[in-house]
Amino acid sequence: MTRGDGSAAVSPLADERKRVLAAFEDLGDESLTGPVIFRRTYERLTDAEPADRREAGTKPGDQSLLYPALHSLEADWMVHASWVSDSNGVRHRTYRKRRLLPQRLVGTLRS
Amino acid sequence: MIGLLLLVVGGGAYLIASVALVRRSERRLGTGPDESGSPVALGQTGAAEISAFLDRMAAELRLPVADVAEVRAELADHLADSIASLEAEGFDMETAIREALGRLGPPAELGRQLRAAHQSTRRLLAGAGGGVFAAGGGFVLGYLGGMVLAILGVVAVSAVVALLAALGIHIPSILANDNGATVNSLLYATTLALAAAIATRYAVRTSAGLSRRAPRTVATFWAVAGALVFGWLAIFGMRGPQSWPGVAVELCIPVIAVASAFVRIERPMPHVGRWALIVAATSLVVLSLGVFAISGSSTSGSSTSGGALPSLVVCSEPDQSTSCGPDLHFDTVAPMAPAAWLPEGTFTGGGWGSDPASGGTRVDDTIGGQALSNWTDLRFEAWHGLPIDEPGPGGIDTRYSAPFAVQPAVLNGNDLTAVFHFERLRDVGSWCVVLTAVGPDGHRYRLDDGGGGSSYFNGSAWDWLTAPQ
Repeated sequence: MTRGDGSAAVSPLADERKRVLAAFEDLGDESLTGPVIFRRTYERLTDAEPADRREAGTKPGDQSLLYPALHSLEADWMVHASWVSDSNGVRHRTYRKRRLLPQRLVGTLRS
Repeated sequence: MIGLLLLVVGGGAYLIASVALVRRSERRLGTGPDESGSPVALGQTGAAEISAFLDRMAAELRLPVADVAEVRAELADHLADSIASLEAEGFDMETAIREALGRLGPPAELGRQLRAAHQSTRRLLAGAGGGVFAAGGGFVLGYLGGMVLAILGVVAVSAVVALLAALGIHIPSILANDNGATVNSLLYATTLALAAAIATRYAVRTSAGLSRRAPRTVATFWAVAGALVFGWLAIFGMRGPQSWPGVAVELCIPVIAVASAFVRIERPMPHVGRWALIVAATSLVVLSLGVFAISGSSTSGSSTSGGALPSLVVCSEPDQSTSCGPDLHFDTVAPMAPAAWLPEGTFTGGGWGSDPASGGTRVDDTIGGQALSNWTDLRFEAWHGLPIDEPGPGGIDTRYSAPFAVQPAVLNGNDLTAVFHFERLRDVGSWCVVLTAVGPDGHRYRLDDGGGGSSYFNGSAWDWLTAPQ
């Protein structure tokens, strides 16, 4: 399972990192699991213009770079990962974008 | 006093910080957090297929145990979610599993990508820095622990010796022959070996945890670094009393550093708890106070003993052909100079002491107005002496037929001086220094019977190995 034809994506992992970071937009301090992040990136991609989709070079449903991208973002301190339990007691690994200032403070400053 | 306070507070903070860093890394290298348990609950067929996929992926990870467990748990959770979504879309169970696994790509490639993501350059640098930091803390802890063990060992041996003495069994003192150099050097060397071993192990475990690498993959670097740094310290850096057993242990320290980097390195380090830190900090305070007290009461670290600048043995016999008082066997060196060539009062004083510039032993004789034109090749000869700290008159040890060190006598004003480095010679012990010269008849004579003392080796292991006998 490869990602793209190689002509558009010189660094597929870098592209995936950008898409993953974009999935955190407008979220505040909310944490997301890997599958949710994937669904958000997929929705953004399907919402995009066909030309942009071709440029992205992704095959629908391809998740091969999702976790390498998430883990490299975590290693670079761009996202924070933690384990949380759901209502059934099952633990999931969640990610949240690291911010220089708390989102609430940013909102207050903007207002 | 402020410096001491800063040392204690700073040293304690450093120790606590380094132990905290090691413990943090240990958690990463351990069996993983509780949350690493697989949340997947599938049928037997699906679980086996997923487990095989995760095994192939994990084989390429080569990460610390906790990271592998986390990645496995996270991907298992992802697959469970993905399979449930696909089943909701109408796929049957087997097709959903195959599709979900296929979307993640080849497991080996996924494992390699995840390893590259974890083992970033930033984490490698953090691991290197953290390893050095932890090694420093481990060295201090190991050194303090070694000293505590050494003190306990000395107390235990002393108790056994006292018990045996009470029972009428007397063991010869191992301190008498060399002023305790053997015991001291052995204690220093074993303490340093323990410190080097703990420091190297701390460095490997900490850098592995921080850089997300298996301990064995970073062990080679730390083994080489530990062997070089601690080997240099043991062989060239640490100066003090030496003996063959101590030097043998010091020569083994590079090997000990390498072994501590590799042998059972996957096993967790012993837990350093609160009490260990309290004992270490207390030891640091006590030792600092001890060093402070010693440095305040002593201005010289010379290993030479025998009294400060003792007077020369002045002979009052008219013909000066015999030694005064008891026979100190000075004639073993050379006959005394005839009075015709060396009138009484030629030398008015002299002695020996520590030479501040070189750390050696400076001997000198003061000339009292008489010329020494009759004499050539003036030199100070150092001969092995009878033990000065044992009963008896002392003097030259007649078992030796030649001096063990000779230095030309240099005239400085009215003083004939020379500097000996007894502290760089092995097994010197008691010594006598005698001024000799060649007379008009071509024979060598004693001009003045100098003082005596005792010196013990003080230098590095390399100095010991290369020292003349």
